[in-house]
Amino acid sequence: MENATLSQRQFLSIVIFTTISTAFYLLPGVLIADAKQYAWLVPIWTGFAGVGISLLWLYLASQYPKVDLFQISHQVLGRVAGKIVSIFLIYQMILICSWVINNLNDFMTITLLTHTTDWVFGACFLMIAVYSTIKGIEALARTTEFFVPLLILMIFLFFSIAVNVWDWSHFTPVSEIDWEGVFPKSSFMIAFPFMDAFTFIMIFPYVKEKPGLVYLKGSLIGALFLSAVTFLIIGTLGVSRASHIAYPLYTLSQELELSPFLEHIEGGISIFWLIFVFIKLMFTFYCAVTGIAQTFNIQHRGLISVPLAIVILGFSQSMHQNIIENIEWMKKYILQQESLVSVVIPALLIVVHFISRRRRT
Amino acid sequence: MLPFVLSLFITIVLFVYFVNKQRPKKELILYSVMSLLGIVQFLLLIIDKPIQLPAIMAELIDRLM
Repeated sequence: MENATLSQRQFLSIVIFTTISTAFYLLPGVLIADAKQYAWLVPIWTGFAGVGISLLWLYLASQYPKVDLFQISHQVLGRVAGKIVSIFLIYQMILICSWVINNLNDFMTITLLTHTTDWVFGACFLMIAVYSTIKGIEALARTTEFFVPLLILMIFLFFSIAVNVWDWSHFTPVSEIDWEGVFPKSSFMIAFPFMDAFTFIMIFPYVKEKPGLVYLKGSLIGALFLSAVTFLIIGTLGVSRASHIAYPLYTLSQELELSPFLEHIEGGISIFWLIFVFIKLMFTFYCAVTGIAQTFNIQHRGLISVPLAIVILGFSQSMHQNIIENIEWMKKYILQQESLVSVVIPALLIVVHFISRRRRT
Repeated sequence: MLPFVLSLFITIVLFVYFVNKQRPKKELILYSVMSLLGIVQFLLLIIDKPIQLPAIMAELIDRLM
């Protein structure tokens, strides 16, 4: 393990940025299509549900303080079974990284750089992720902290300009809530982004104090932010329009007018989304590399980083054919798939933990 | 084709570097296996038959449910 310390503020910014990241651009349109004008309720309830589910991992972290995710599974299950669980966790982290890059590729090729080959974006982001992983968790935390004031300023600016085109009539008719759309259809959001939280256990030992509480706070702030963004999109673009666009937030920023001579600020707005994506990628990549290093007793993180980046870049190219296929897959399978690492594995670890404790006493 | 060539080149250069640095054999084997996985995936992408992780997961979930 590294000899590093993270402040509560650094950890909080990592949690918020990682929770928001890709969901911030990808999900609002999908949620509005399902839950119409009540879509802003979805991030709130799924946020609470996701955080509730992650309490399983938090309980384990409280029982095994000062050790990370992989060490917990090794201590509870022993060497062989612990390694099997670790491989599952590493696989999930690789999948998340591939997904993030795939979403990034989709976004960049559809909107900003339409003539660039898509693997280039992933390669550029992964190069920096490799570098930051070699530098360690403190460098990553400081980078996140550095971006906080900049992002707060940009978000505040964006929200203040967007309010100019606000129209309350987009929330009408205030009819009966579509429960089907708000609850069952949108339940996939519990998994993405809230069930990815198991990765945070990796850096719990480095946080100065009360990492569990900070994590809960960060996730709920992330959920509220996602709700606010969805609310803003409904109020500005309207339900019908927002549900037919792949990236409604991008379209909204294209149409905003700061002044008659300053318009088309989508490039600037996209940059702060890219920062969120970059931090999620960097953090999950760091966790995957550290996990492999611990599972296979490797001393040098750089030795694993480069081949892992090649693997992730390769897999990210074949995740989905297009964004529609991506969303369809997400709606159908992501909750079950993420449940393995966020429900089944921690539940198994807790049961084994109780059995072994009872045997000892 | 370009990502395949680039990844192959980077892998070989780094392998030579780590061998010169006298890294333990176990670490070099893990490095080779992981690099091979990535390079094979790029090769499969060239012939349009890549490993699709979501498709594998979907198949597994469909069988289990």
